[in-house]
Amino acid sequence: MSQSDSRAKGRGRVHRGVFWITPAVAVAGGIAYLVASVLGGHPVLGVVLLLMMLAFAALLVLVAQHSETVRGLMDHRDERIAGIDLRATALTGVVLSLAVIAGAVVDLERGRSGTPYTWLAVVGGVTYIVSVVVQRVRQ
Amino acid sequence: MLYMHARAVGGPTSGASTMELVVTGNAVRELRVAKNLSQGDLAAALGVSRQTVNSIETGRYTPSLALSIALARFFGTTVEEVFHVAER
Repeated sequence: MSQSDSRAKGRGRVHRGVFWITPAVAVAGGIAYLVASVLGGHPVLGVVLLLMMLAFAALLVLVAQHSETVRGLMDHRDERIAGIDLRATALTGVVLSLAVIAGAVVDLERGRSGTPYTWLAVVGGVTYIVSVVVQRVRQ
Repeated sequence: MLYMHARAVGGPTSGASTMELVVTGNAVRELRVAKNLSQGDLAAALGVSRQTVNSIETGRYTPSLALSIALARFFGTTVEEVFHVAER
C-alpha cells in the first residue's frame, strides 16, 4: 500500500468516526436526561426524553442514507457542506449570544442578578477569545 | 461569473503592488461532458457530493485549492485551464 493510499484509508476512518459524533452526542444527551430525571424524581419524563433523543439519532442516521446534505453535515467529507455547516454554526452562535444578552438585560431590568445569562455570556465570550488565540497560533 | 476574489499583496518591503484576481468562470462542465461523465461520476471520483459538483459548474461555489488541484489532475490539465481568472 502506498503512502497516499494509506493516508486516504486513514481519512476514510476519520470520516466514518466523525459521522457518528452527532448521533452519539444525541444518545449521550438522552442518557444524561434520563439519569438527571430519575435523580430529580421524574423517571417517566427521563424515559420520554431518552426515547426522543434516540429517535432523533436514528432519524439522522436514516436520513443521511438518502440526503447528501445531511450526510455531508455528519461526515464533513464534502468541503462545501462543511463550509455551510461552519457558517450555520457561526450564525447560530451569534443568535444565541444575542438571546443571552437580551435575557441578561431583561433579568437585570426586573431587579434580579442576571444569572444564569451573565455566566453564559462569560462562557461564550471566553470561548470566542480562546478560540481566536488558538486559531491564530495554528494558522 | 464567479465572484470569488483572491488577493495577492506584496510584503511591506517588496514594493509590489496589489494584484486582485477574480474567478470569472470554469470549464468543469465542458471537461466532464467531454469525458462522458455524469455529475455523480465526477463527484464520486473527487469524494464530494453531486450537489457540490453542480454548484461548482454553475459558479455558485468556488472550491478550495486542494479540490481545484484534484479537479485539474482528474482532467489531466492545469488549474488555470479549469478555472478562468481575470485581474481586476
